[in-house]
Amino acid sequence: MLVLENIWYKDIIRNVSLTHSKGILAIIGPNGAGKTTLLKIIAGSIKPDKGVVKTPKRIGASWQNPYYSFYRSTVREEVELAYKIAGKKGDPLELLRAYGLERLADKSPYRISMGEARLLSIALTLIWDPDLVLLDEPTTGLDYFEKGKLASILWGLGKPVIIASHDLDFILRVSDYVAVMHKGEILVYDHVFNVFYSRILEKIGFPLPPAVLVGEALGRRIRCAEECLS
Amino acid sequence: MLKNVLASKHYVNPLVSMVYLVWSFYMIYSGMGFFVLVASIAISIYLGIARKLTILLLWVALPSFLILFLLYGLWDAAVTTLRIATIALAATTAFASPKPQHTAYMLYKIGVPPLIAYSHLYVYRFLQLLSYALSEAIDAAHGRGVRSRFKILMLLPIPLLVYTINTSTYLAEALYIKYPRREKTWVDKPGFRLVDILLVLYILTIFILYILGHDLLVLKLLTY
Ligand SMILES: Nc1ncnc2c1ncn2[C@@H]1O[C@H](COP(=O)(O)OP(=O)(O)O)[C@@H](O)[C@H]1O
Ligand SMILES: [Mg+2]
Repeated sequence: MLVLENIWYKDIIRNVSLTHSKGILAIIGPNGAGKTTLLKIIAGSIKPDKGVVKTPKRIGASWQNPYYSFYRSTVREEVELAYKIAGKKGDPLELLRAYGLERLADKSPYRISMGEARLLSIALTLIWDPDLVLLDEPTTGLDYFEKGKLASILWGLGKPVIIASHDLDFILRVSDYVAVMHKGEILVYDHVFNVFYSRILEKIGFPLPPAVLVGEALGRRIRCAEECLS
Repeated sequence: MLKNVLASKHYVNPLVSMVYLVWSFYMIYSGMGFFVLVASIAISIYLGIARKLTILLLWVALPSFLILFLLYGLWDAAVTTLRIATIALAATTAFASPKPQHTAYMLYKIGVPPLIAYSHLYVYRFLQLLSYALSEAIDAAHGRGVRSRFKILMLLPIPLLVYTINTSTYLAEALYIKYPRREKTWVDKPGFRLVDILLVLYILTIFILYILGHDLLVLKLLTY
C-alpha cells in the first residue's frame, strides 16, 4: 500500500497526494512535469521537503536509463546475478524466453538495443519479487512487439505497479488508474477511462489516442442510429 | 551537493566575495571575528549549504577543541576553536558563493589564460556529472533489489564506467570550451544584485565602525 500525503519538493512537486494498492497506476504528463522526481520520492532516493510518504519496504524500479542497472558481461549472467540477489533458483533462458530476449543470452547487456535493454532491466527488476514496481518511461525505445510483450507481462504480474510515461496508447492499453501530472501538480487521479474521456488531456496539450477518438465517434453514431430508429 | 552549482539561483558577485574574503581575514586578525561569523553564517544559509558546513565544521572544530582543552583549559580552547571555525567558515563561504561561470569571466577579463580560467569549470562540470551518475547507479541497484551497501559498492564501478563512456559527448562539450572563441557559452558576465549590495553594506558598516574606534561598538563584548 502506497500513501503519499501533501508532498512538496522544491518547486518540482507541489502538494501531491496519492494512494495506490492494487493494479497498474500510470502517471502521465509532459516532459518536465515531475514524474521521475515523484517516482524517486516513492523509491526513497529523494526526501521531500514536506509531506508523508508510506511505502512497502521492497520497491523494485527500472529507471529512465536502463544501462545503469547492468553489471555483467552477458545477458545470461545478468539474469543469473538477479536470481542470486533474490536468493532464488531459476532458469535464465526460460525467463529470457518469456520476454522474447533469449537470442541475446550471450550478448553483452551494453550492446543490445535501447528497447531490449529496457525490457531486460524490467525483467531483472521483477525477479526479486518486490512489493511495488516502479517503471520510469518503460516504453521508450520499444517497438510494437516489445510493447506487446511488456503489456502482457504487466497484466500477469498481479502486484501494484506505477508507470511514469507519456505514451498514451500504451497507458490506455495496460493501466487501471491514471494520474495526470502537470507542472508538479496532479490534476486528476481517476480510472483510466474516466481520464481519457474527460477533456483534461486536451487541456494540457496531449492529443487523444486514436482508439479514444474512434470510440467516441462510434458512440455518437450508435446514439444517432438509436434516435433515428425510435 | 554539486548538482546545482552551475544552475543555482543563489550566488554572490565574485568581486564582492573577494572583498568579503579580504575583509574577513582583516577582521579576524583585528579580533572582530564575531561579525565575520554572522556574515558567513548568513551567506551559508543563503547558499543553502549551512547543514553541510555544520557537519564539516564539527569535523574541524571538535578535535581541535578537545586538544586545546587538554593543553590550555576551557577558555583558551573555546576562543581558539571559535577563531579556527570562523576562518574556515569565511573561507568556504567566500569560495562557494560566486557562480563558477562568473569567476571564469572575471579571471578571463583580468588576463588569466582561458585554459586556466576555465579549468575549474571542468572540475565542476565533471563532478556534477559524476555525482548525478552515482545517484542514478545507486537508484538502479536499489531497484534491482541490491540492498547491502558493500554489494552496491562492489557493483557500481561498471555502470559508472559505462556511464562515463556514454556521456563522452558531455565531456567533449566540456573540452570544447578550451577554444577561446567559444568563451561566450561558458562564461557569464556577473552583475550586482540585492544580496551583493547587502553584503557590501554590512562589510562597510562594520569596517567604518571599526575605523572610528572600538568604543562605538555595542557588541564589543562579543568580539573574540
Ligand atoms: N536534481 C534536480 N535538481 C533540480 N531540478 C531538477 C532535478 N531533476 C529534475 N529537475 C527538474 O525538475 C523538473 C521535473 O523533472 P522530471 O521529474 O525529470 O520530469 P519528467 O520525468 O516528468 O520529465 C524539470 O523541470 C527538471 O528540470
Ligand atoms: Mg522522466
